[in-house]
Amino acid sequence: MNVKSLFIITLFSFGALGLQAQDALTIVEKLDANLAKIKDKSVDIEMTMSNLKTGKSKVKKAELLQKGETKKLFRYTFPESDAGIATLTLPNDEIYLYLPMFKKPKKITNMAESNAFNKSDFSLDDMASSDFAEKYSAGLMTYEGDAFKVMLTPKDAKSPYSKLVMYINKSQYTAEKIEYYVKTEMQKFALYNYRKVSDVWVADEVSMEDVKKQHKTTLKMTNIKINQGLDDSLFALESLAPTK
Amino acid sequence: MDLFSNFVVKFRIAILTVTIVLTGFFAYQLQFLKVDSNIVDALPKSDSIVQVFKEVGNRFGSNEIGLVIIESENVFMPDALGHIKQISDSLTQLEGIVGVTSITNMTSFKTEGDNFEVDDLIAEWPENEDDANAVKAEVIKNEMVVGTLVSSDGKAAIVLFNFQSGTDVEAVSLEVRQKITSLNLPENIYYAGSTFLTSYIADIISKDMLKLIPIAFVLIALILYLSFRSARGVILPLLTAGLAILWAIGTFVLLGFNLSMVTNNVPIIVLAVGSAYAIHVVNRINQSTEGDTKQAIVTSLKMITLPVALTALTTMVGFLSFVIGAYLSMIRDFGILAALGTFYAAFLALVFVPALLSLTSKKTERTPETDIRIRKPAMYRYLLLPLYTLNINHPKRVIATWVVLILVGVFGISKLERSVSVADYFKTSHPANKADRIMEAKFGGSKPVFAVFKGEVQSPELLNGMLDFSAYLKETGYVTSTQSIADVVAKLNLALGGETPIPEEMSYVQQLWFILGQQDLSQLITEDLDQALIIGKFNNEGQANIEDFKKHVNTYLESHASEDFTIEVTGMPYVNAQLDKSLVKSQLTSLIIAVILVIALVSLIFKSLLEGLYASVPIIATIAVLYGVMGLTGIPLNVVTVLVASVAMGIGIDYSIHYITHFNSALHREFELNNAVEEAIMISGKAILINFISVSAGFLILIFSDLMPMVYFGVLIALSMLGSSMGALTLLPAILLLGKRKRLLKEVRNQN
Repeated sequence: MNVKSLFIITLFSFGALGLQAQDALTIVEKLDANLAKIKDKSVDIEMTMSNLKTGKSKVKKAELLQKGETKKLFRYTFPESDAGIATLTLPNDEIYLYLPMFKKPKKITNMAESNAFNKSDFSLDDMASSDFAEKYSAGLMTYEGDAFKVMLTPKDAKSPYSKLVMYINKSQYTAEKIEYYVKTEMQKFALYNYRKVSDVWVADEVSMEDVKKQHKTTLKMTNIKINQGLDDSLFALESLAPTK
Repeated sequence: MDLFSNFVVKFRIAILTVTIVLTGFFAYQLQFLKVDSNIVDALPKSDSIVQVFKEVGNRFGSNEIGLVIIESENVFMPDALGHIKQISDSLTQLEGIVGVTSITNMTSFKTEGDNFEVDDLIAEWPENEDDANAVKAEVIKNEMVVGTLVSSDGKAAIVLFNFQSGTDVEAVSLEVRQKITSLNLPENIYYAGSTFLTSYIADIISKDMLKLIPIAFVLIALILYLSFRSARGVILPLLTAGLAILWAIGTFVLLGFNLSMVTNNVPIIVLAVGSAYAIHVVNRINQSTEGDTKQAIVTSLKMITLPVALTALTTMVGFLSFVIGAYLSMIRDFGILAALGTFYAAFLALVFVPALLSLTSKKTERTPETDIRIRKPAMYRYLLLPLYTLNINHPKRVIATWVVLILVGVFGISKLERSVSVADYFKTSHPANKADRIMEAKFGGSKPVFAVFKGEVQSPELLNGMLDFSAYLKETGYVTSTQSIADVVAKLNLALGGETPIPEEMSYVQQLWFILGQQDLSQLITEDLDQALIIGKFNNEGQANIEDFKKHVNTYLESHASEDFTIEVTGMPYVNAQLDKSLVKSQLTSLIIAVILVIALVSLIFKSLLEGLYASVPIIATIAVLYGVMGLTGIPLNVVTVLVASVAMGIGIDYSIHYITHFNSALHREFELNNAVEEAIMISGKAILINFISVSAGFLILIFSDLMPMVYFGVLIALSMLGSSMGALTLLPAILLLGKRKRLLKEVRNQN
């Protein structure tokens, strides 16, 4: 290899690197924009938690109301023992828990965000995933089939993950798969399926597998409604009590 | 016998070729050699106590807990706390490890008004000593943590973790130690938990094999050289023993066995015992008056094959007695491996050694017996002659002295202690021993007891039962702390405003489960919520009084039978108690088997039951004295020292056989008792003493082992060799003198 060809390769490499980072950011921003199209949503969720070691699984059902990124009401409907248990997430990470038997909602402070949410493999952090462009530095790694493979490095040093590798559908700009890494080891990965609701791509099935614990949670969403103009009063403390 | 002798000489080249090929084959097997020193693995699967213990271990992963102890002046100081976090984080990254818990990653919950606060146990990281003391004061109030993850004086902390099921526990525990060592932290770091103990033992075994066997080889070579002053007298016995060790281990691996801390000492045993067979063969060939080498070998083999085979057989009987009597599989394996080694050593001495010698020219050597009475060497003047004089002049005093020794032995036996604690296997300077002492002093013990509650885990009846039984267990003082799902439910319920520790209705408990679901509770409950575990810390005092504790537990179980749930109690202290009982039982069984078989064999050899009994008297007396010494010096009966008596029986009986053989042959020739005693002492005495010195030296090498049972084993075998050789040269002649005197006089009178 002569000096000239080395120079050309080097030049192209720098160019490519610059282009990659820029492209990756744009791609993630497009993904965020897609997510932002959902102003509010209401869904019925069936959550199947499977122990891959023993082959045993449990099913829970819940209703989810969500407005923007910060307001979420999650109320269990099945099994009977969990029916009526609800969590309300409000801005500034305010979380309230309502256990019907204890009547009054309790404010849960400092709920460790990376802890698995009610035995599922989704942490609260995972469940509140949006604004990727803001929370992560993006770098394009490669193209894989119909997807961009993007590496996301968290800007917040407190993030439980060292990086996320996200596979973004080239035509829909939706996440197909997200791998979560701690240091160099992949801890878990999520797989997404989408359907169009009111002309917006909305995930109707998400599964998260914890590789180390050999545990998997699958969320199946039905009765998906978006952008109904949900009222703020639905996210008031009083709404935690079951509506009968 | 003719056929055999001629065969060996005729097919010498084939024998040597086959020996080389087999040696290569067995050496190849060594690469598959594994070390498994897990006592739990060695427990019999059929024992119900063991079954329950293993079941609990598998179900709740409690057999695979690892603990890293960090010792410092104040573990809450910023640096120390940072290092605990560093260890916790490093372990979290390791493949094969799950559930890393320490004070740096624990969450705690409390209520303030309507707020339910879930926070890190150490919410604000200390920056100086004052902060550290404030954090310490706060944390040690938390009863879920103190005594479990941090000591109440704040000087020791624990990072607790589980080995992922199905992982190579030994490899991962080694990786843990390497990883933490590489952090190069200033605090004292120790490792506890059965997996680390097993890993330490495996380490020591591997090092011992590399360190002790070469030393034993050199030492025995030196003794052989000093005794025989010929290269042949050194090389052939050692080569035979070396090959026998290799063949035995190779066969052992082929049969699918693993080495353990008990089988670990077999190479030294085979080296010490097995070399003797080749010595006898070489000696006999050297003593032959035949001019032609091959003819000398044929003639010698005819004479030596039977005694070598029989002495090997008695030794093997001693070892094989463990196959029937042993409770632990590692003791049974020891019997098999040692018997294999002995068999190969005798076989090689009778086949390989003559085949090899038949290729060389016969060399007349000085033999130990020929001119000893003329040359009068130091051994003759200072040992053999005084022994002879003593026997002839004072046989009754000799017997009286032995009776006194046996009585002292019997007194000592009453003080004999037993030890089944794995931590006791390490020298006091070893980190495993230090870790055990820290666990005992600062964390209330290292041996867990488990109470399994079977029933509906979320039912208030079961949870209240758990709280009640936990409190009852602690009444003894042997259980220093307990941990269960009921404690967690109670704490949470009270924090959420519940009026009783456990809610009165199951539906309340089920709702609390929503919060509990945030934690990994697999160590306390089953996934199906049909079993829950109380983990109690048990101290060494409790182990010493385990029978009292069992009674205490049984009283509760009998009076608190419930329709809602059942309780089963197990744990390492229970297994240890079972092991403890089995030590005595297996000791007695294997010893009785060894004694009966050896007496039967020796009686067959001499065609006289009386002589069989005579021959066994010195070794039985020695064993009584040996146990007495153990009792008086505090050497405990444990999984290794339990072997001593039967091994001593198998090896020590040879001395008596040699002595009686010479004694009888002299007596039949001359009908003169004093001469028979003299000839027996002079001819067999030197051989016995040399054998005693070389065998003892081989075993005494074990004092350099880092495992205490091995150290004791070496010392005790050396002591029993001293006893049985002295017994064969003092007690046996005295008994024979007194016993035969009457018979001989009668026979002489009859002849006249």
